[in-house]
Amino acid sequence: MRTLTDRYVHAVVRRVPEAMRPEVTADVTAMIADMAEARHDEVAAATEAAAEVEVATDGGADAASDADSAAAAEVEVAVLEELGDPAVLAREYSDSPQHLIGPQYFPVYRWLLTWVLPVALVVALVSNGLAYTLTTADAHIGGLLGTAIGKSVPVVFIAFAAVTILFAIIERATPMGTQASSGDAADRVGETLRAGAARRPRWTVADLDEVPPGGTSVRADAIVSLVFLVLLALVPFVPTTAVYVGHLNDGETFINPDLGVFWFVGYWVLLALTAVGAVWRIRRRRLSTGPVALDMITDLVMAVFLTVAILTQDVLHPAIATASALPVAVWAIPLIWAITIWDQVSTVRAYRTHLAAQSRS
Amino acid sequence: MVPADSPDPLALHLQEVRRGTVVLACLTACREPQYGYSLLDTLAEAGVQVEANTLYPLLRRLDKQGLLTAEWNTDEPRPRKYYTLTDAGARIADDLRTEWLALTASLTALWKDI
Repeated sequence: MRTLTDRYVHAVVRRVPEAMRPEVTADVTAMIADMAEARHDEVAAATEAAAEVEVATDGGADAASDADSAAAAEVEVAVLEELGDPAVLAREYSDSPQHLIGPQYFPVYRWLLTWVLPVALVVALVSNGLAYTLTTADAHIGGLLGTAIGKSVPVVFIAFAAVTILFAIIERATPMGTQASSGDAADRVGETLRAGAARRPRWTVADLDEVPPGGTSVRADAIVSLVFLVLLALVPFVPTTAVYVGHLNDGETFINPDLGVFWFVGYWVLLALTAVGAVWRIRRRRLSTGPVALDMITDLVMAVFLTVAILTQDVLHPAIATASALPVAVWAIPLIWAITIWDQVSTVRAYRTHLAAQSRS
Repeated sequence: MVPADSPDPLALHLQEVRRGTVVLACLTACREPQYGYSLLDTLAEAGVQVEANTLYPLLRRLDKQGLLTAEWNTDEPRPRKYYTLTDAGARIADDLRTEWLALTASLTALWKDI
């Protein structure tokens, strides 16, 4: 049977990176041996004093050796318990970060989540809703909601996990600071540490951006908007094979290719107008009343335009429209207005926050 | 955030203050070659409280940073790793000591003022 010490060393070493293991094994073993020796000396000194009193009564050699090994076992337990939880000791030895995402990346991580999660939810709701209405013979609104929501929640969790894992990897891929591995490098590294603070460029007020507070997020939000506008512009070209319903119209597009040119051009013009607003925000890094109002009006016009298109035209590919038990107007129009209203509210809120930040600066 | 195992603010701040001083104490004591346990003894005698499970990993980190050099001595019955202060470590120890003395003077002055 392995000794307690062996088991303790193993418990520490298995928790540290592989490259460190031989060194940590030697270190921990030496530490335990030193501590045990010191403690043993203390115990021996104490028992020696006691033994001198009892030596006259009986002095069997076997009894003495039994007492020695019992004392050694006690010392071993006491030393290991003094060292405490092997996981904590391993953490002290380990150079890797003990957190998933550190303060350096946490703001970006949180910002990205606030973008990715709602988008993943909407995309999943739309595509699952679409797949349900197109593939279910007797589609009804309850089934549509149940299926779309039930299948979209895992997508949000997967998106959350993917972003988290990505940031955890970035956190670990970043250099952990200066470390030396050879004795020759020791002096150089010592110098580096010593001069580290001095060599770092000193921050001055000249480094301050001219952008008012919130500028970075205005720009980042606008870039994300631009990406989505491009994706939205591609919607008329999305083939049915994209959501496994290609058999319904031989892999043609979801949108009716025979829809009048006016509707396609109108759609792209409205998207282009919104894109102009986004580019303006990327360049100027701030929000102002005119462009924000224009953006909101364009969104409203787009919602009206799409509603009219759905009510008066065969927007969906005819083969899909006939396959669908639920008319497109029933789910698409409420969805369009829900997204539009959400967008209007969030635009107004973002603008008010931006104005408040500007007035503070 | 206060860790669950030290809800007492005093314990937490004492730990913070001591953590900063242990490095300087180690560097100072390692002007003479020391192995882990002898260093623990030296520090304890000097009144510097540090646990073995903190000290050994710290010595390894200081070695990696080039402030100490480590060498296994196999002449003794049991191999022991001896740590010695490097030139770079000595310079850092000097700087840290200067800072420590300045802090002590500042705190003494501050304490008198109020």
